[in-house]
Amino acid sequence: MSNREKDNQWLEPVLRKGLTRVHAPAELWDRVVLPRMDSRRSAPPPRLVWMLAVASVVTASVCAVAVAWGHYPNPAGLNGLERPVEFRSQRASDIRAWVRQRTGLDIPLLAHPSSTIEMIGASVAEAGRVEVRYRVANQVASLFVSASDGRLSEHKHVIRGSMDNVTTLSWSIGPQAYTLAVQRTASLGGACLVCHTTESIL
Amino acid sequence: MVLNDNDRELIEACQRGDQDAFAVLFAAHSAKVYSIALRYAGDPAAAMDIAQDTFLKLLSNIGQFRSDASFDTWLYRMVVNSCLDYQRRKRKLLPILDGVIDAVCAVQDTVLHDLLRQERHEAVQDVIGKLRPDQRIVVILRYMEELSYEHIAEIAGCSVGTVASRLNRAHRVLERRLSHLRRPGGFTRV
Repeated sequence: MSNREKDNQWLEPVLRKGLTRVHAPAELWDRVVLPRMDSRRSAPPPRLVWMLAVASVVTASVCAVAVAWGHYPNPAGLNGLERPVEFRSQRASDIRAWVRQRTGLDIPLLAHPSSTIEMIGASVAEAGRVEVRYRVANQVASLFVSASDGRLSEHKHVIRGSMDNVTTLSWSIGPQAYTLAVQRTASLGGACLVCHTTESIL
Repeated sequence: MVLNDNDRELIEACQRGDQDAFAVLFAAHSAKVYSIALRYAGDPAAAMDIAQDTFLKLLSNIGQFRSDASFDTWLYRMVVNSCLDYQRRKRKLLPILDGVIDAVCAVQDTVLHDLLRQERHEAVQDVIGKLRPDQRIVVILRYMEELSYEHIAEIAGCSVGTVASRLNRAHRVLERRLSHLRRPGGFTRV
């Protein structure tokens, strides 16, 4: 290998993993053999595009909220992630014990989460819904947990969504249902480190 | 790459207007063309336009292809030109669908792995998309298609030194912007 081809040793694998091939959509063949169907030639007027886009946003928002809030802890107050918590502690084990004592729910918080995680505390809202709040790389995240009827052993029925400046991920596992809410600029994967080690995720 | 007899027959059939042969050729190369377009444009709709444009050019120009040339290089050059054409005619549209609810239902136990992989792909795609077009296409050909500097130079119509220089500049940008992926194990820090 010549000097010029000695690319950065850590960057190359990252690029190769991030630039994998994908299958072409089946629609591509139709667009090649039936070029008259080319959407660019029959593009609707810009105003109609905007109207359809706005309608799509509203419809998608309503559907996602209806689905997610019907089955998972309602992350009420997503815009209020900075409001005070009922029990403040920077120790995950204390928060876990407090929640278990108050509600009977056992949230599998790591006793010593990743150094990117900074615990803030927890609150119990109506119907026994728990909010565990923490920071992940200085961005606020909340894990909402409530009892569910399910008896699933793995993460099931995962719903990913977003609204305003918050991204959410909802799932059920065991007798509990979870919704993780993070600020849009934060990493959902990073927020998972409150319960998972890096090794367990990778 | 030199054409083998089967490839030569296939291309000659395409040159005679045999649609079945074109379907075989399309099936063999559609993933490659679409993937380059997708990684270049970062948007599936734009990638469809670029891939369609490439195959329409292929269809109309295949009669001019000489069987002693490399079909792969010819096709790469076509998709690269389509990417650069797209860049030239691209209009700056507001990312109006950026805030659209993105609801994905999955029933699998590898959700965390998928989440991490998706975030890593998005980070790489995002940074690649911000490279200059000439650097972006070189990075895609190098790391997705695993092409040599010499082959990239042939496709891009420039010298090997220019390819090395573009890659070098791209590396410096990518190293800086993807440094959060550098931790052992590649976990995306936030």
